[in-house]
Amino acid sequence: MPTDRPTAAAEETLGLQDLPPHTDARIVAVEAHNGRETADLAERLAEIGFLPGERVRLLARGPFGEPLAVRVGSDTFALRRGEAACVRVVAIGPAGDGRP
Amino acid sequence: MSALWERLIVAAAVAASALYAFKALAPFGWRVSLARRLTGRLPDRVLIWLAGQSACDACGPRPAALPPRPRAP
Amino acid sequence: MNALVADPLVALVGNPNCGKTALFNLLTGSRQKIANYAGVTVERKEGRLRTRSGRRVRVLDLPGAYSLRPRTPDEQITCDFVLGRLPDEPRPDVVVAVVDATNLRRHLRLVLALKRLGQPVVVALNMVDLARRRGLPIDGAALSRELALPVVETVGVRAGGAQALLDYLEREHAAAEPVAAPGDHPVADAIPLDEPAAATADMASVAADQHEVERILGRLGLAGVRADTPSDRIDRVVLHPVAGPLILAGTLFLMFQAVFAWAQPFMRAITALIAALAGLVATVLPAGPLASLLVDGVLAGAGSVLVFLPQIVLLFAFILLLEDSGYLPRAAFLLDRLMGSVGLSGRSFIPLLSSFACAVPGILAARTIPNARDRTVTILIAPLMTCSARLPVYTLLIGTFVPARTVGPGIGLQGLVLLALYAAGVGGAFAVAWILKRLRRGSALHPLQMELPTYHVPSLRNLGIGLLQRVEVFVRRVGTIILALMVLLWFLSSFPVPPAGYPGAAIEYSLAGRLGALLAYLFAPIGFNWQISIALVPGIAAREVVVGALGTVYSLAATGQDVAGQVAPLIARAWSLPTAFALLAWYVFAPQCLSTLVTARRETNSWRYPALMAGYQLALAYGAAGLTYHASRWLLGPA
Repeated sequence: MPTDRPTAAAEETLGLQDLPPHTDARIVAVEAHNGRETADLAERLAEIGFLPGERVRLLARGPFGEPLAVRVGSDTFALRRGEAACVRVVAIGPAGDGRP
Repeated sequence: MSALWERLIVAAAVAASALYAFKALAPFGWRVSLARRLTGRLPDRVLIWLAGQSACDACGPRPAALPPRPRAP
Repeated sequence: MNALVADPLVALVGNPNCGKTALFNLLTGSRQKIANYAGVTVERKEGRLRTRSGRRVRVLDLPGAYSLRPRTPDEQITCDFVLGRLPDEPRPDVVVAVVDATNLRRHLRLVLALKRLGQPVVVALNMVDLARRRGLPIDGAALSRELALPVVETVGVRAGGAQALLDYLEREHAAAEPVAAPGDHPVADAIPLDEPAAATADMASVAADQHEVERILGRLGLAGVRADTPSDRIDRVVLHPVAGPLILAGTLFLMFQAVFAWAQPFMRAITALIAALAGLVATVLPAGPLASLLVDGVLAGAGSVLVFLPQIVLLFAFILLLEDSGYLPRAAFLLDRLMGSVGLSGRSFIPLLSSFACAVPGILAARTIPNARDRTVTILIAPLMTCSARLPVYTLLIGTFVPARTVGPGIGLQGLVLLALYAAGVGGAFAVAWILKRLRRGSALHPLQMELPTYHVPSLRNLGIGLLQRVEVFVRRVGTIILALMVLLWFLSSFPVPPAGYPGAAIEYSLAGRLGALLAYLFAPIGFNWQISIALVPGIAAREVVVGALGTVYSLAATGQDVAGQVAPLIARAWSLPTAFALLAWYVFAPQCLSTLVTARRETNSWRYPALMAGYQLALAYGAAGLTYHASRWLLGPA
């Protein structure tokens, strides 16, 4: 039973776009890459529900791999790969259910 | 129905259609300036009607606010 | 000037997909009015309702917004309106924050932001029926305590579902004094579209709001709510990389086949009715200008456009059903990459699909596109989406000139040709978008962030109201501008009257006939005769006018045997196949809708774009018609 360690170094954070489908994950951070545009983007993602601590799950990829249908909280949003890349997540296994 | 009545009705219908088509199609600015120029010569209600709706009203949004009533100089 | 106390103004605010519009429909029934915000290019949906005591209340349906930091033009409107920043708009007396009871996690954040504004807010907990059915513990009173705001429960899709809200408004409308909480700075809470924002500071406040929401949800026992799984299960199929596009193609094809085939009996009925009316007029009135005006102008003209009402109803019904069920964003999802290849995003799909019904609401819907360039391109190509006004022309020409053969099981040649015309419109639009993409450089990331709402069984009530609205718009259009233009055309086509013994048809002597003969020089290279040329002139105002105009022009030239209102046999005799096909090709592209140009002007705030739109479409139309005409002549041999 993996427990959350204080340092994130040992945990694998992925960009949301690399998450395997139908795997639950938890958001670690929502950050801008570079420039003002992605800063705006990150903020907008936060406003629609992509906040640290929220559960996410990749539901589907469009034809040609993009866009991504992502379940966050109780909503589903379609994101581009570039947008999803702003969201860093940690995969949680079935045992990770409901951990605060 | 006598021929005269017929002609009158037809003429009225054509005139009304022409006026309506002008109101519906002419640019807003033209109608407003026309309304301003006709102030005093036609009843105010007619002028507001003339200048009050846009070409879009047939199938789209209408302006919510009428232009200010033309004032007599 | 009497001192009128204005009726109280109630504004419905909420996230997209909270059922706000259904609630608005429920509150106002069909007593709605669609207008423009003065000076700003956003549609204003206002309605009226009467409370039990007979008090009148104005209700405003504001565009959905995720937060009070606007990203798109329509979110900006909601934000500005709620803050009282629109110059000609009064501040609302009451803000109704509509939230989806099955998804409080996200929707409550906006409520918190609205609360900080210090205006009277009442929370409408919508879709409580769905929430209870899913077993969620919904307690309006408890939520009210946690939020320190009044809460009423509503069901937007059931008759009487808004009674609690109505009762609340009745009780409280008198107390319209805004309650400002101490230390509030309402204006600072909302940031205008182009002000730079410190990202970290705002992220922190969003996170803070989210903590508050989670705290509230925890107190209400809603903390561990899982998401809706039936929707997920449907999405596994609908968003599947192979099954998804197939379902989409099938749905669209079904839509087109239905529009062409299922409407036929109704259309025949309307045609018969008009023919009967024409016969009646002929027996009651002596032959003369009045009889001619009624039969050739009104009935043959406006009447032949009215015949297409059943098709338009069917088309809108499909679009509204798809929209209400929640399928449209999935279609946009599947098409996003494809649209990306021509420089658009999946977000353009919904405005473009709306343009299949009518380009005006389609252009207005482009307000939901955050990227300004995407928005402009979407607006520029929207008219090429085969709008419902083209249907009368297409149906007339296909019905007359394309044989009614079956090409495969359940697939008719006529339906296929119609589909091909639609495809040509879409293909043309994508080609134009692609060219525009090549002309502009800039690989800015176009945001998508499109919500895929839970599937809903479409509400028949909403469908009915939506259809009724569109029918009303269509009938009003026919009864006013189209009728007026037809009367004028009749007049121009009937006078001056030729002297006795004139060899040709009377209409050729008339003003319209002479004008048409002049225009025919312009259009002869692409195969249009003078009747078509003259019919296109009033057709500039509205596309379906051409059908009516042809009806009038040919009816006036017809001999006694022909039944009024039936253009088809008249043109079948007079036109060659290449001419008919050329007119079809012209129609795919030609800019023949003044409303579209004016709407584009409003939405882009300049004449440059509508001028560009009209120009390139005219060029495409002329070129396509010319190509089709000469190619058909070459392929079919001399007529």
